[in-house]
Amino acid sequence: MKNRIYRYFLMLAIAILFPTVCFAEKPTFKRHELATYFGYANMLAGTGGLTNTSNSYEKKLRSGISWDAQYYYNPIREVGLGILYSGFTSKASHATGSDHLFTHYIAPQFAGNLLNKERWRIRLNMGVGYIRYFNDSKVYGKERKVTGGRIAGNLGLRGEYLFTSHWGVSVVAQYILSSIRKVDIDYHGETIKVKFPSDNRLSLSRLNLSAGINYHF
Amino acid sequence: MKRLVYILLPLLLLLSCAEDETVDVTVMPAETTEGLNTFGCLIDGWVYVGGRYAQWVGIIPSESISFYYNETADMEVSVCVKPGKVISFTIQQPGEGKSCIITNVLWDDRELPDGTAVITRFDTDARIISGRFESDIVNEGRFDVRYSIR
Repeated sequence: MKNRIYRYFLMLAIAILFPTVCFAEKPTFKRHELATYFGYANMLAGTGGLTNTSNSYEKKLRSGISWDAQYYYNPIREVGLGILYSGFTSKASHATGSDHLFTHYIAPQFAGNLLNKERWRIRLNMGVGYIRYFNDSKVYGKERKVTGGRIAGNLGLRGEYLFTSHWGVSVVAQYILSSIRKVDIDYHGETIKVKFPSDNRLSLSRLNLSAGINYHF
Repeated sequence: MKRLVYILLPLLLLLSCAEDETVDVTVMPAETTEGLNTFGCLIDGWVYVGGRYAQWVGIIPSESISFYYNETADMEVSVCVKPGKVISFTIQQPGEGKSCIITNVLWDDRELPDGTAVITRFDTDARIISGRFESDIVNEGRFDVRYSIR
């Protein structure tokens, strides 16, 4: 019964999308653009502030999922000015504790099209903004909350296919670069400041590989 | 003005020695046997770690973790785990691979019952002692330090 329902909705989706894609009007230049992406991210330079200092545990927390939201205003076809928000999360646990990482990055963006065909576009974007780090961890069952933040930068490359005048699908590679020198740790009713040595800061850099949709209007 | 600088500068230097902000006192150090100068334990379920806060001898900051091997072959231990809070005990006749009694257990000036320590390394040449310990409300204790001789 369930399979029949799934097949029905799949055929309905194809029936709606097929003529939309095949007979879609030619995309025309639109000044505004909204986009949302989901995908995989990896903190290539490692991370820190964890409840276990072993390399094998730290590696588990390097990879996680990412999500982005972007807005661009395109004064001309080839150039865009906008804003990017990018989030990341990963989690792991061990015998005496656990860690649940979040990072949130926001930055104004400048973008330029490297390729600008009728339906295909390749765009480069870059910006400088702020990143915030959170770790909701537990040590021997007691809560331990870690926070920190710093200036950060990003560089991204997006390939987009416009299947209608308004809608497109994209694949994106986005690199966010940052590291922090100190964090605040809330534990046992106190806030403790922990500093990292200048040659071993807590890295927040990550590479996002994601896909999603764009709406042009 | 100069006088003020001469008074304040040594004070600031003293205060900067009082706390090592690179030590995370919320994470238990791993059990090691390399003389890494680490000390940690659970007291009432909360993690306490040495190495960050200095012990004070009068107005002079002293080492956070001190292990002294005395003339009666006992190891005197004193560790500052929070500003003004010290855990101290004596390991009786430590020996590598041995289970020893720990006595004179004091936590924040509160006397605790005798406990036990298991010594995983006792190197008299390198002056390294490593092991585990527990006593009443103190458990999951571990240390890996270079000791001094009285």
